[in-house]
Amino acid sequence: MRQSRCDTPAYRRNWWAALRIGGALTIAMLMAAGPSPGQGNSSDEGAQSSPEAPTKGVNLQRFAHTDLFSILGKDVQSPSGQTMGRVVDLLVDGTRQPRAAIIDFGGFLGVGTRKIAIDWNSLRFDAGDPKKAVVADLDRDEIKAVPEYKDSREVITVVTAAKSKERDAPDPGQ
Amino acid sequence: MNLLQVGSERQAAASAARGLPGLDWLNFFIANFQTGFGPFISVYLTSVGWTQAAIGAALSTGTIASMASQVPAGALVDAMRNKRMAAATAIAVIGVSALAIALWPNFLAISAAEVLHSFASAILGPAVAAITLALVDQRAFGERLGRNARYAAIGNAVAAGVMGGFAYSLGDRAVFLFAGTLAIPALVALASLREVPSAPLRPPATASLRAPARPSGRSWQFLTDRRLIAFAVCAVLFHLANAAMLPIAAAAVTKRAESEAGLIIAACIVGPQLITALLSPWAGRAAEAWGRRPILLLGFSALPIRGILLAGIGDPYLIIAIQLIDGLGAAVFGVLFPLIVADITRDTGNYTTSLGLVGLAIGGGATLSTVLVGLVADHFGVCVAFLSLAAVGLIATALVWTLMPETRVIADA
Repeated sequence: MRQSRCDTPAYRRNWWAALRIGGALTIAMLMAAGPSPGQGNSSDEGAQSSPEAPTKGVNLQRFAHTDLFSILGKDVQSPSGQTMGRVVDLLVDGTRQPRAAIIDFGGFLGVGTRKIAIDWNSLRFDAGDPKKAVVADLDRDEIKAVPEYKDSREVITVVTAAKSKERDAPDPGQ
Repeated sequence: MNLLQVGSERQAAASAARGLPGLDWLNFFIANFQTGFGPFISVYLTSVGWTQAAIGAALSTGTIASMASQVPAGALVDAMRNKRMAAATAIAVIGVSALAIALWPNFLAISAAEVLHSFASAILGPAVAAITLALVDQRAFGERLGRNARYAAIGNAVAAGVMGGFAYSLGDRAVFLFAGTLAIPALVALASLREVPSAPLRPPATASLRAPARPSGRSWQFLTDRRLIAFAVCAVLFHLANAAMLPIAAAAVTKRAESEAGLIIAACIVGPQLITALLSPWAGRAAEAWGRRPILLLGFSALPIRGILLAGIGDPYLIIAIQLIDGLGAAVFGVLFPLIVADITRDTGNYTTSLGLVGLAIGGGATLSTVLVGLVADHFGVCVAFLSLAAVGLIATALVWTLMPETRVIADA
C-alpha cells in the first residue's frame, strides 16, 4: 500500500517540491554562515571576557540587575508615601530625552482613574531597589485636577514639581 | 392537575420563590467572581508591565467576543436539555479564565481568557434565568427574579469591598486568584439546586429544567416580535445613558476630592448595589401586582434625573448620594429584563435566545456609551457629557412610554 502511494504522481510532485525548497534553504543558510565560519564560538568567549567586546559590529554592555529596571507598571508615590498611581507610558522628545511619565492616577478598582503626565525631572528612582516605588516630588492634591493626558489631544499638559528646578543639578542625596 | 386550592397555590408559589437558598447563593457567588473582570483587569495588566495599546487590544477582543456570542450563546442554552450543565460549564470556564489571568499574564493567555470569559458569561446569564424559570411557578417568577437581583447586588457589593482590600494588601494578582476560587462555592450552590423538587404548579408553557430541546429547524420569526424589538431598543438607550455615568462621575471625584477619593468612589460603586439589594424584591412584586410598564417607567426615569443632578452638582459627597439613584434603575432593569423577555417568549419558547438578543442590545449600548460620551466629555466638558446622558435617558423613558406595551399576562387559574 505504502509503496503504491509513493508512486502516485501527486506524491512525486510534492516530494520534488519539498526537495527544491529544502535545497534552497540549505544554500541560503550556507551562504549566510559562509563569511564567518566558526563565529559561534568566538562570540561566546568575547562576551564573557569583556563587556565592551564587539560582536558583529555592536557593543554589549552589562549592568547589575539593580542598576536598570523596567518602569511600566511601577507604583508612583508622593514623598510622604501616599499612593498616586502607576506608570503606564513614557513621553520622549526629538532629542532622545524622556520628558514625562504618564501615570494612571487615583480611582478604585480601575474606576475613576485619570491619566496625568508628570515631568520626568520631578520623578526619583531608587537605583538600589528595583521593587521600590517611583517617588514624584508632588502630592495628590497638586496633581488631581491637572488636565488629563489623551493621545488624541493637540496640547499635552505636563505637571512639574515646584522643587524639581532645583534638582536639575545632580542631587547628592540620591 | 392537582387538588390544591387556587389560594394555597399562590401561597406555595410565593414560598417557593423565597425558599431556594441555593439560587440565592448561586447569584451571590456569580456576581462575586464577575466583579474581578470589570475595569480592574486593566489595572492588573498595567501592574505587570503591559502597554496601554496591548491592554486595549486584549480588552477589545473580549468586548467583540462578548457581543458576537450573546445571541448564539442564548440559542445554545435554548437548545440544551440540561440548563444546569450549561451553567456549571460556564462557571468552570470563568473560574479557569480568572486563574489563567492570574498565572499567565501574557498576551495570548489573557486574550484567550477574555474570549472564553465573554462566551461563558453569555451562557451563564441566560442559563441562570432559565433555571430560575424552571424552578418556580410563573406567578412567582417576578418575585424570585427580585431575589436573584438582590443576591447578585449583595455579591457585587461584597466583592468590590473584598477585592479592593485584596488589591491593596495582597497585590492585584490575588484578586484573580480569589475570583477563580469563587467558582467552587458557585458550583456547590448550583449542585444543591438538584434537591429542590421541581414545582408542581408550573404551567405547561414554561420550560422545565430538563425540558426536551425545542425541535430543530425552528424559525427565527420570534426575533421580529414587535415587543421584543421595542424592549431591545429601550435596552440600548438605557445602557447608552447609564454605562458612562459612573466612570465619568468617578473621574470627577478623583479630580475634586482629597486623599479619600478612592473611598468615595468605592461608596459610589457599593452604595447603589445596596439600594438595588433593598429594592429588587419590591420591583419584582410590584411588576407582578401593577404590571411591567409603570415599574419600567419608574426605573428609566431615574436616568435623566441622575444625569441632570450629576451635571449640576460636583461635591464628591453629594455625588455618592446621587449615585444611590442608580440603585433604583439597576434594580428595575435587573428584574424586569428577564421578566419581560419571559412574558414575551411565554408561548413561543426561545427564552434564552431572546435574552441573548437583548443582551446584545445592552452590550452595544454600554460600549457606545463609554466611547461616545468619552468624546463628548473631551470636547465639551463633563457637564455637557452628563446632560447628553440625561437627554438619552429621557428619550429612553419616552420610548418605554410610547413603544413598550404591557407584557404581563394575568395568570388566573
